[in-house]
Amino acid sequence: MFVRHTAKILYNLLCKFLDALYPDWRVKLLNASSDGENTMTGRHAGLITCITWCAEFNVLRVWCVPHQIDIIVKSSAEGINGGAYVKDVYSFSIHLRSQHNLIIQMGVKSPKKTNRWVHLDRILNFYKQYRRSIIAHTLEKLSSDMWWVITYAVAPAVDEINITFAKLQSRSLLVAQQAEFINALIGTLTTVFCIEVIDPD
Amino acid sequence: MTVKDDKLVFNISARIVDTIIGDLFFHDDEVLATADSDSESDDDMANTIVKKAAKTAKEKTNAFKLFVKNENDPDSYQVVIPNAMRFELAMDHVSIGMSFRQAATTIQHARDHTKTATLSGMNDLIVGQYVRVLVGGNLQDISDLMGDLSVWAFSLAFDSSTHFE
Repeated sequence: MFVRHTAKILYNLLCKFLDALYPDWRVKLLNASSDGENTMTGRHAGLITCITWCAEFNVLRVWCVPHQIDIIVKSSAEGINGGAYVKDVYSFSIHLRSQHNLIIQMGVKSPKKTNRWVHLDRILNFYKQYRRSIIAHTLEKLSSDMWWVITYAVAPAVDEINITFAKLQSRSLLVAQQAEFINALIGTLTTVFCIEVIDPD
Repeated sequence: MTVKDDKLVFNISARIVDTIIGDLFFHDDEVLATADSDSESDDDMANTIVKKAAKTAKEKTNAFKLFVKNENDPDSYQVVIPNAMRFELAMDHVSIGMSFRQAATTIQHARDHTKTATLSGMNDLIVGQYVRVLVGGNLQDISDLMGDLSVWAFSLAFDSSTHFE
């Protein structure tokens, strides 16, 4: 794993590893699950696609639900305000983490924003909770009113999504039960934002 | 893995040792990439590369000192760990996230305070060798499991860390 992670390199590496571990692995392979990213599921040269071809029997492919939601919610969050919003959240957290006087005054440090979806929720709740101190400290230089409005509008939705994430990650959950949680999430989100679902027909 | 008279014996197949531990965990590209380009002439550059290659080769031989070809079976390696307590203590330390160097020093301290002579002579390289042996032993166990007649299928999961955040 010291080189680029293209599907071909990953495939060769995996084959080499499994060949050494158990040369007959192609006969016993039952299932391959992935995050559905292009390197994994590409139609011609995705890693899973290659594995499916070389396996002896039909392979059950699982593109798991949390991973699918992860891709969707991340891309929708990046769509807010043309991508500027998430970028601001990110740079604002970096700025706040280096404000030592503010950290001492509030007694907490801003959480780190990473590319993990769950961390976005933590950071938004942090902003909400310490809004007054943060605004007083930054003298509204860095955050516009619109930015705060978006933060307050987005945070409940992110909360809801994370609750569903936690439920979907539970170890005792069956694949068949997942649809129920997704539908519940869609229901909640449509109610929160008063979205009317219009049938295309 | 078998235990007898405070000795641990691992039998690991040559496929796993040669391909996974010996090849996939080492990489030759690093030799070229890390050879500094600030050498003055091409000769110096070539010399550096040769030196680095020799150094890596030596490190690799040292890393594999514990793996001995099995006399009865040329397709497998045998590793004998003479001091089981020291091995297990080192692995316990590494398993809670200590670095090799920390694990070795901790064992030294334990030796000093408990006056246990069998814990002597630990250093980070030995811990590294032990870890390599343990990884080999575990891979061998997985391989045995997969090869068992009662096991008829297995499943691969990529990027599973999303599920256990």
